[in-house]
Parts: sequence; C-alpha cells; structure tokens
Amino acid sequence: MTVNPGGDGQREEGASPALRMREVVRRFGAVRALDGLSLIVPRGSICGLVGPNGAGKTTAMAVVCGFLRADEGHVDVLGQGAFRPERHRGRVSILPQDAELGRDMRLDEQLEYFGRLQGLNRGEARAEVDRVLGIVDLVDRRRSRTRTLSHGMLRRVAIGQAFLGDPELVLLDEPTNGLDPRQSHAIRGYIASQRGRRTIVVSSHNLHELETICDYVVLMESGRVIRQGRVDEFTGRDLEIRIELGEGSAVPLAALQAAFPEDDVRWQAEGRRLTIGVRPREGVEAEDIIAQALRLLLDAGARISAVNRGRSLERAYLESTHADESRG
Amino acid sequence: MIGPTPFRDIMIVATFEIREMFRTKRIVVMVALYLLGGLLAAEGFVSFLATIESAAAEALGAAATRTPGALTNALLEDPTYRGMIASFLHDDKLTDWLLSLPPMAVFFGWVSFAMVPSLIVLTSTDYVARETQRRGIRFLIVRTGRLEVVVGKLAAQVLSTAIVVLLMGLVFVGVALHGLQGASLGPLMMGILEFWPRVVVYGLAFIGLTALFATNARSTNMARALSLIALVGIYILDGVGSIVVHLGWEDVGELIHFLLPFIHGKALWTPDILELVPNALVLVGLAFFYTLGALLIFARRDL
Repeated sequence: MTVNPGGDGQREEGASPALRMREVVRRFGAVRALDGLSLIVPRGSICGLVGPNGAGKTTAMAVVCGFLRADEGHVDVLGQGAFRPERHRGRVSILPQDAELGRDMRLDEQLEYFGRLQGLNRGEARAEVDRVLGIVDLVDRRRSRTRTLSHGMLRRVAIGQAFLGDPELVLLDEPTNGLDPRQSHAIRGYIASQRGRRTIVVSSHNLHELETICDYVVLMESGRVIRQGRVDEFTGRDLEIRIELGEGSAVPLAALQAAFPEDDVRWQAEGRRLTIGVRPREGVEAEDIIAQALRLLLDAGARISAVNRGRSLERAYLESTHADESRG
Repeated sequence: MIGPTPFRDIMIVATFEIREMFRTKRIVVMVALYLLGGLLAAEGFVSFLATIESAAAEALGAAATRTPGALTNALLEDPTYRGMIASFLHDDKLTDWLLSLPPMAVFFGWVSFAMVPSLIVLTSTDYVARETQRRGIRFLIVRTGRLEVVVGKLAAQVLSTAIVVLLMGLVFVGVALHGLQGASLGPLMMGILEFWPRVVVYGLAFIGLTALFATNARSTNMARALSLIALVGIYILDGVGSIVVHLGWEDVGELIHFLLPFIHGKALWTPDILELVPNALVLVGLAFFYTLGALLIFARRDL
C-alpha cells in the first residue's frame, strides 16, 4: 500500500535534506523496480546516482517528481513531503530520460510555455528563456522549430528547461547522453558551477563524469541503495596517495617508511607504484605527505610519472558492487 | 493533483494547445474533415431539392426552375404543408420554428447533430494521448497539476470544435447563396446561429466522452480506437434503452437514456427556452461527469 502522506507543509524545511526517500517500493507487475530504496541527498550538493541498467535510477527520479506512484514508503522533497505541484511548482525540475519535446513549436515558445507554467510571468519567462539558451549554447536557434534540431541540440534544450527559473532541486537523468565532447564538458562545467546554489541529482553511467562534478554519490543496485556518502569517502581521496615512477627509478622505501611511521607505505614493483595509505590525524594533510614524499623520491633520483590521490570512483563502485555480491 | 493557480494555468495550456494545433496543422485536418462533410451534405441537399422540384414541375406540366428553392419557398408558406409537418412532428411550436428558418439552416442543424459525434471522436482523441505517448507530459506535470493540463487541453478542443462547426455553417450558407433561389444572407446566418450553440453544447458531451480515452490510453491510436468503440457502444446502449422501455422496464430504459447524450441532443431542437436550457445543462453535466471520470483515473495513473 502507498504510504505517502504528502507531508505537513513547512516541517523542518530549513534543516531537512533536499531529498529523502525511505523504504520506497515500486512494483511493475512481479518486478520490484524499487525495493526498499532509502537515500538522503544533502541540500546544496551535487549527487550522483550510480548503478547498472535496471538499478532503479530512472524510476526513483520518476517517483520523486510524482510521475510514478510509490507502492510503499515515504518520499520527502525539500522537507515538504511527497511531490505536489501546489507545493513544489518551480522548486523542483527534471530532465526526464526519454521525454520528447513537441516537434513543431519554436524553441523560445516551448521554453516560455514551461516557464509560465512554473509560475513566471511573461517577461520573466522570456528573460529565463534567453538565459537558459545561453547556458546550453543555443541562443542563435531560439526561433528554430524543435523538429529542425539535432538529437544533441534537443538534449540541450531539455537540459535547459530543467534550469528555467530558480529550482532548488534539479534531477538530471543522464544529462550528457548524446552530447558531443565539447558540449558534455560545457554542461558538466555548468552543473559543477551550481554547487551550493541548488541541489542537483545526476544519474549517469559515466563514473568519471560523476567523479568530476559530484560531491555526493548514491550507489544503487536492484532497486536498493548499496552505499551512499561523500565522493571523497568513496574514493579515499585523503586516505590513499599513489605515486607512479619511471623505469629504473630508485625507490627509497626505508626512508619513506621512516618519514611516515604512522602510515602504510608500500611499493609494487610490477606496476612501479608507491602507495601511501594515510592514517587521518590532526594537522597533517594529504598535500603535506605528497610534498614530503616527492622530496624524498627526487632526492633519491627517482623519475616521477604520475601522482594520484585515492581510487577512481569506478574502482570504488566496482569494489562496492563486488562486496555486495559477495555478501549476497 | 491541482497546482496553485489552476485558472491561470488552464488558460496557458489552452492557449499553447491552440497555437500548437495551428503549428502541427492538426487544425487543418479538423477543418478539412468538417468542411468536406459540410460541403458534401449541402451540395447533396441542393441536388435533392432540384430533383424534387423538377419532378414536381414535370408532374404539374410546369416549366422547371433554373435554380432550385422556389417551390420549397412556396411550400413553406402553404398552410397545408405546415399542417402536414405539424402532424409529423406532433409539436406546433417546433413546426412554426422550423418553418420560420431557411431550409438550408435546418439541414445544417440536422447534419451537424449527426456528424459531430463521429468527427469529435476522429479529431479530439489525441490531445493528451500524444503527450503521454512521447512522455512530453512529464515536462508539464512537474510544473502544474494534472487537472490543469487536461482541462486546458480540453478547453482548446471545445474552442476549436466550436470554431470549426461555425465554419461548417458558413459552407452551408455559401452553398445556399450560390445554389438556392431566394436564399439571402441575413436569414441564413441567423438560422445557422440558432443551431450553432446547440451543436456545440451537444458536442461537449462527446468531447467529455473522448476525454476518458484521450487521457488514459497509452497511445494516440489506442485512444482513437477506444473512443470509436465507445461511440458505437453508446449508440448500441441507446438502442438497448429503447428496447428496455418497450419491454416495460421504463425506469431502467429512461435511466440509460438520461446518462447518454442522444435524448438530450434531440431535446435541443426546440424554440422553447424553458425546455432548451435544462437539456443543455444536462449535456454540460454529462460532459463534466465523463471528464471527471477521466480526471479521476488520470490523476492516479503513471505517466
């Protein structure tokens, strides 16, 4: 049964997360697309929703926006209960994965229509249309009919509509899917620039992309969250330093171990990789350890190929899903 | 699921829908269907009158008129003919009213009452189903209530149907002026305007009926097919109501007739305002009832 009470108006709005889902279940026949999904998205964060196909990412977004009804569980959007247009109009927006814009209207007409429907007056809506077309680099096509646009351009229009007005929570389902590298880069840059101004939830299979723009990640599988937290926590950015050395470099392992007695210093000859597992402590930052380690290595005549902090999000994801499979 | 400013949003949706009808040329299809139907019917009427009048002239040994209508005009003023029509209609007021109108205007009323249900089913079923099929509706319902979306689109359908029926009436006027002797613009226009609002009110019930399928089918083709089946279904149900009345279960039969638009549509053929208004209100109520049913399902469905 649906347990989606709709919230009680202004309750704890200021302190609440932008999005909270608790034990949400959504069935399609015998399939449980969401199977007790519980997640929290902090306000002002850029949150990546990661998972394989069929993990429930798109379904979760559809439930948040009220496109689909939850069979069980609670959804709390911006501290005001489940999505309701009278409460959340203009405050929540979405880039749906496979929704199509009308093909015969002009871009500016279509976007002005959306702007007006979310409560803007005509003048405000027109100003917003110009602003978002600037964001997605389509100002010169503002009077084109949508059917004359390429797939990538249509995708950019759909991204633009999600930023009309001043939404507090923006849900983007695979935003850079179908965009060329330059446009993907620009859109990633814009999303990253919104950190702290609004909450953005981004679903993507591109973990490198998410790693560059997100500060919070939710890993999903089979309609459930298997892990969620800050990207730094996932990747261990402050907990692991990897320094790759060129062929023939000398490795002053003993000196390094002596310099960092509290940390775990290891050398992998096969990958020519020096790994320092940092034990967090007051007053010592990863940057200090990197500087001191590099000094020792350079003094010993080592040739440095690369310096990396932490694991990639992809590796963290694979490890997390593997761990989950092992437990399962 | 109603937004904070329903009336404003309904107007915005309706205005956009009408602009989109012009852009997508859906309105052209609608106008073409109505005007073609009207033109064929009006031309048919003129040919019918020409045939009758030349047959009458031949029987009387008189010279046939070049343009039909003269004999009909003479008949309309003949008391015997009036008596014949009155005995056929069993209603003196209705007889006087119909005979006071140009025959082409009466024919317009008859044709449009007959055509409008099926034309509405053909042209009005895809207005929400199209958005649902391509999921463009998701861009809307995150911004306003589902009610505003449906009612706004419905309002656009009503407005476009009203305009197109009026255009069809103008086709009848044009054909009459061109092909009927003694036809004049003023009385013809007044006659068309007698029937036009009646046809629109009658059409409301069918727009409400198609809303059930337009809002809740997964595709435009499915919506159109279900609406056609429903239209045939209510014609059959109307017949069943009559059979039930003949079998003696009058209350059941009358209830069936009351819930369908046909009997109320027939009752709009009256000059008596006291009879006209209640039936018009019932038709508006039926349209509301059907639309409410559509909205109740639409408000809960996945989109």
